Amino acid sequence: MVKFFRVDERLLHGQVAVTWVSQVAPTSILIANDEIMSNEIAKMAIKMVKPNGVNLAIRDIAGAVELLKDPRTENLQIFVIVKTVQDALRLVNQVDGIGHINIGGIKKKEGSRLLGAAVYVNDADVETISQLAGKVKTVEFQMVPADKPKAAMTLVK
Amino acid sequence: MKTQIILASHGSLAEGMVTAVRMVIREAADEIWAYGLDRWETPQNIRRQLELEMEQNPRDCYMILSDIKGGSVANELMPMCTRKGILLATGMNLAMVISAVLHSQSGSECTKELLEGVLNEVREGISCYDASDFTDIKEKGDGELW
Repeated sequence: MVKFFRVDERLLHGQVAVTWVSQVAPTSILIANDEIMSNEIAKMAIKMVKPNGVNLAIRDIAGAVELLKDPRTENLQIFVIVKTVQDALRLVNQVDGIGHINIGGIKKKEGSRLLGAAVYVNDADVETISQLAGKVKTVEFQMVPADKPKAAMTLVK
Repeated sequence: MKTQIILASHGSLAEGMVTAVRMVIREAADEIWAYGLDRWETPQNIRRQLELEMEQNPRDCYMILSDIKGGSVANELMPMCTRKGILLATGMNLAMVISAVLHSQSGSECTKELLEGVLNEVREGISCYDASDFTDIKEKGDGELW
């Protein structure tokens, strides 16, 4: 089962590894991203710094969907990390049982505005976040566990 | 009983460490106290200052993380550990400070066992790499969840 679902443009980095992973205590981490599959060095760097005692899989979105539908994942506590809210929506549309989306960081890009620490959204992101909010129980901005979570919909309006 | 995290170092490592810790855990870093020799000039000054603070909050537990084993700062502060509720570690690094802060804020009891647990965790994070690691890990594929 998906225990925690995070959107973070830096994927698995120090802040996530030391704060969220110890807070969530997953059995497995799933990095779901299409671009990273062709970047061997980036994949290897993630694998080398993976937290001890946690299994790690890196897949493209289609591969991630396939894994999350595998009955063997039912007894696992999976921490899923994607880079964008668009990828989050693709997974939510194809996989059941995702109740909460945690948004940590969204990259600054053309036409985007700053919504909170390291969260930049453009119109397309706002539309995607609205769709996500209609499909899962909560969509929240929260960089680190010590921050107070903020409901995404109240901020993007 | 509150756990106070104290960093003590040569130069301004302790103060700089706080800024690095804050990048990772944000406001959770607000309650770290830093004492570097650039500012305090002598290890004795750091010790005196710590003693003053301990007198004001005698019921708190103090976790002192110092930079180098056998260094003048750690040597000066070491005898303070003979008092109850004062712990000292050497070899401070970013992972150690973050871990100590997160454990103490999550309500773990301030004991030597806790600090030893932190240090064991940190030791696992000290690693070195070269090209051979990349070849090894590439052969292992994209990993599995189970």
